[in-house]
Amino acid sequence: MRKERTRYLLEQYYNETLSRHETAELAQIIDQTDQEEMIDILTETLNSSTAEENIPIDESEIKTKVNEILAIDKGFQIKANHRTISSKLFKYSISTAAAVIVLFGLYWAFQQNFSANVNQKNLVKTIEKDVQPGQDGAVLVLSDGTEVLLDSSGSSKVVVDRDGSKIRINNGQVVYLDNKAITQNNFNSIRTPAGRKYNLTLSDGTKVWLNAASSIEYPIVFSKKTREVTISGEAYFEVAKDAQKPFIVNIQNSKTNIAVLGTHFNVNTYADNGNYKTTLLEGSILLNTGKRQFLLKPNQQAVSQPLADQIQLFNNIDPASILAWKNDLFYFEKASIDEVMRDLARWYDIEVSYEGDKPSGTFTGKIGKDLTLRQTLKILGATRVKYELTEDNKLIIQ
Amino acid sequence: MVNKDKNIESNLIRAIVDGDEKAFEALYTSYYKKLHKFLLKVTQNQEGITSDILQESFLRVWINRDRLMEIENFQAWIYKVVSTEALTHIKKELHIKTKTDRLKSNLTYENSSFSLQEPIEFTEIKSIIKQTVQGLPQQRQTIYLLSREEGLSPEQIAKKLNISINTVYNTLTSALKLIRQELTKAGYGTYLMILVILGIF
Repeated sequence: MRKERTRYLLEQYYNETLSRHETAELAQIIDQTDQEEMIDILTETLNSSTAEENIPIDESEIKTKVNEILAIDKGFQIKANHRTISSKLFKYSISTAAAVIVLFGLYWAFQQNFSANVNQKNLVKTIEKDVQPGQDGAVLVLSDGTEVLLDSSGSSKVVVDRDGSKIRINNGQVVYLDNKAITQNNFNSIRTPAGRKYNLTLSDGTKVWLNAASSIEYPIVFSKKTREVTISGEAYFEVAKDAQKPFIVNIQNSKTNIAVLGTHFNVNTYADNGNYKTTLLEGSILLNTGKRQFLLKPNQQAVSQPLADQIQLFNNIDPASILAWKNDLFYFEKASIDEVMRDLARWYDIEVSYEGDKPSGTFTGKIGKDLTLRQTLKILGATRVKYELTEDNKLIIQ
Repeated sequence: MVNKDKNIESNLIRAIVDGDEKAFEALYTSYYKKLHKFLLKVTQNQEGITSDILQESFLRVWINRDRLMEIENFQAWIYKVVSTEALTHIKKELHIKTKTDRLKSNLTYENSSFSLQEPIEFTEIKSIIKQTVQGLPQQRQTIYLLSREEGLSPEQIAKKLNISINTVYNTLTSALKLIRQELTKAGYGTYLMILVILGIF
């Protein structure tokens, strides 16, 4: 009898038609029934609902999942048949392995297997010359033009702007002291060079993440009817809600702006892409190119060009792909070598040039941004692409 | 299942025992097809969780690959593993739902942090395995790494190192056994329930 009831309730669960009362009942039955008996009931259901062979399958999803499993017990990068690995090299390869863990199913489009075939020769090469990854840090520019370095050196100091406002720099974070007393509309700006990223909280509570080679100009307090900031490069915003004061993001040297009320979104204006990419994750925003306006819905991406009428719209954007840089990941989806190298150049502060034809093929996957340049190149399978890294941080793809 | 399919499957399993990654992917794909409909039911059409459940089930297959030949009926076994994972998921979902309902009716939000479906900690599992492999004696480590890093079959390893194939098999089995012990110590025993379930068949 109870078995019948359990089957019935499970069927309602599958169809999402359980009432609140039945939900509690099923939870109780499962708690009180022997686990083996429950598993048998589920296995019956499974046997009766195995699908036909010809269902459409998401091959890339399967590959990703399978590769995650297979990576679990390899990629330690110890060349097994060389017994004379020096302890220094050994240590190095271990730390590389630790860093490689963040790699999920990344592959050359033509599926070269790059994951672990590192031979000793390459290991020797990698300790010759390398570039450390970027880190947190920026430059604060006061309204009088004074520049203050923001790094996480742990020191704390107070600087005074020309209007008398006091700014405490604590462990790289900017704190405006007594900012309620400030009525003047004074602007400060923060810019990140290549190889640095930074996050800050504006006076209204809005959070801003700046990617490398980016900037934001903002008033110390938002005393006007609108909250306006100006950015360049790439920034992610979590705007604090204030229905009375719209938040407007202007793009530097452009008539494009984005008006918002309270919302999460990302703006990417890296000039080397030629496009402005505005992606909304939560809430709603109004994109204004100067010529056209467009209201974005969550998970939509608008690609606009500063001087063109057209806005291209993409739906169902994966938030993870947009948030990757903020979460310290490189994220490539069928990216060309150009796109990949532009990202690397910004993070490692290197110059990339090509000798001869650019390698074809695309990259898909994620890589932690805490790796050194050589380690990242290794993961990219770039050991198959010949390259040279010069002492003055120039990467030449041969 | 048709006999021919059964044959293909047992060939795949034999190859997986030898560490063949392509065979593992083929087996995974074939069960993805067979189990997809059931998993969509269990997860109420949440594709992402469907994939996670299948992946957790097959993580067990991989970590226990040296013992796969001991399983008489692989399909029955993996169905049981998947059903177990499915039950865990349903329990969690029901727990969250009843908790939410209680909160809604009482309007008290004190315990409002719901337990969410947590993905397996691949990073942590991997670092445990890495430590274990590093702790192996030289010869065993070499054999293990030739199998995983170089993708050599036990036969190729035996030839290369000029040792017997049985030594290779024994080494790989004992390495995996050690890995499972270390994972169990670290609290990942539930991912390795193969023994309990094996006993039934």
